[in-house]
Amino acid sequence: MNGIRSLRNCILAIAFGLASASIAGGQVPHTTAVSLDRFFLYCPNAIMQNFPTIGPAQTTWLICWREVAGNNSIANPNGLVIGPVYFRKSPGGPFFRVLWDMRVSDYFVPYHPGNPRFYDLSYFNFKLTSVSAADCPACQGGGPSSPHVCKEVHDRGLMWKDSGGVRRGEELVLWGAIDAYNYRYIQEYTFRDDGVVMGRMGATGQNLPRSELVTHVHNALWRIDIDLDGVTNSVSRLQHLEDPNNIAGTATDTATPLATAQGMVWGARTHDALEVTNPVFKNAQSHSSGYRLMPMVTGGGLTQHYEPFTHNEFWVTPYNPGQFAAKNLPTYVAPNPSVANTDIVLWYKGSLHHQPRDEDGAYNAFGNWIGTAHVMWTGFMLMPHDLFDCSPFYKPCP
Amino acid sequence: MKRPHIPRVFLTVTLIFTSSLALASHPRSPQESSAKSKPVALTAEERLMIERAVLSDKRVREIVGEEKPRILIADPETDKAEAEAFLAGTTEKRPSRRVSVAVFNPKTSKAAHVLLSLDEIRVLEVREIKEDDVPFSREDAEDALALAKANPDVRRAVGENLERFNLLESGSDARIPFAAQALPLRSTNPRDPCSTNRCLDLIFRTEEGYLPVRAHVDLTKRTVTVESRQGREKGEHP
Repeated sequence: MNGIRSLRNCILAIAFGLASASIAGGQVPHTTAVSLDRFFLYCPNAIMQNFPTIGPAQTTWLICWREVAGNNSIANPNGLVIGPVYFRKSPGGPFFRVLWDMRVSDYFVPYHPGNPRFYDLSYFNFKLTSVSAADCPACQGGGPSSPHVCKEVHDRGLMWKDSGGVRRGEELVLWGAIDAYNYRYIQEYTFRDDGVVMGRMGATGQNLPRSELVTHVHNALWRIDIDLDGVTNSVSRLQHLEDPNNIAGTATDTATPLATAQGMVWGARTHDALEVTNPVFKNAQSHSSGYRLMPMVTGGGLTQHYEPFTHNEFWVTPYNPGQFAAKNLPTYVAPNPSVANTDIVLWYKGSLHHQPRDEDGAYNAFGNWIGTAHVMWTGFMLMPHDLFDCSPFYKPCP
Repeated sequence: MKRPHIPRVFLTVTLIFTSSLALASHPRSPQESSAKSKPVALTAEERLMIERAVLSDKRVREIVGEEKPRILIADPETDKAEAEAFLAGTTEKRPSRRVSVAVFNPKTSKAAHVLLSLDEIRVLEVREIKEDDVPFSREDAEDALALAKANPDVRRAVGENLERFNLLESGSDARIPFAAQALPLRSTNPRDPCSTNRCLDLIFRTEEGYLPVRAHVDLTKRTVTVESRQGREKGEHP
């Protein structure tokens, strides 16, 4: 009997071991392993989200988030901070890391007359304001994850539609709103079923007292510490080149590897994007898997201002735990540090041109401004490229 | 006691094994997973210890002077390499936490950046930084409000309730009837003192909304001006 019990225990141990290995993702080489137990121990606010939400899981996000609310927002910017984040592209596959730390570094708001010029996050340690069932309703798949952060899981519209059928997608959205006094900045991060990550700024609130009708720009500067399956990453600048005077109508795509830290202007006509890759991270077709940083521009333009840190939409720097201030980006890149095969950080600036309108509000008989500007959005997308062997949301891979 | 049959053992194993795999493919629900929430912010005791460590460091005093400076403490960050190792399960050691502190003497405008090990409350690094890299503090805002309250132009613009205005912290849910709020700003114009000085705009919120007043305070020069209303600019669409 003891022998049988030993045999049973042994088989049980092997079975549990195999299951744990499957969970931890230790079966695939070149993958930065994560232990689920450790993840939940490390992260006070951990989310594991399967997609689709009904039926067998096809993809899974493992998301850590936290609220930073200190008194030195230049050294460690306050707000909703996302990371580390892991993704699993098939039910039996391993988790791989996508992000270490993603957050807004600053909001810079210059007014058309040249002043004022506000730094709406860094200089006064603004913090997240409260959320409630009113702005995070259960009927939209929402529920406050903390007093300041809302989590929503819901339909995201069409994923695909062709002659053979149609499929809708789903997403998980985490958001909080920075209380910049008369303004609110919504910090929103979306994790889609297909591996896409999106970051957006929503600007809303009451126009600046005494300058209610003055046009201004809300610039959001995100710091994205991307870790594609670990920290040995490289980045290329992607561009679509096409001459409209070329009668042949041909176009080419270029990928320029970046050797050193630098800033780059986004071109509306060249589909500029940054692609992050890891030399050993490939899909089953042996294609190098990447994530592409692509602007989601609202209103057709990304403004530049006198301040040098606003002269580029994209910046790439090597990871440095002491570099969080977007206003210091020119200083960070000045020594030309290498960004090839190393731990890199992407920065992106998105802009909202706010020309006040009657819908924002109006003065009453006493000269008080009555009204609030509705939310305007801008942001970016991190889109996987050759991450999956083929889409897991269509027919089985051929 | 009846001896278990081998097939039953294998049936049990199979059931447990498939359950384990099912757990891998259908993990805990998000609600279960996100249930725990430990505070990541510093405790009051930790803040006190950090302040003591910073103030007792000779290098800090050499930079900012001997007067009691303003101390602005960031939230702690974990060491990335150590956190990676912990997450991968290759070490039992919890990742160490570090804190960035800005130390600022408003009288001399001298500032230092201090990096501390939070686990040991030990100063790791001290370096001088520009005044530009020091955020504004509650003391700055209080200072600005005191200057504004003493200014006759602000008193005229805000009215007799000026004395009743108090600072409202960002993120606070308090519904105070007379809330003053400070917006830090910088100028790019070299002729504008705020290109180098520490400047704030104060706005005033009542239960009816914001007053049509903005007080511009130069903390370095200790001056206050009331901003006039700016309308739509020439050449812009109406």
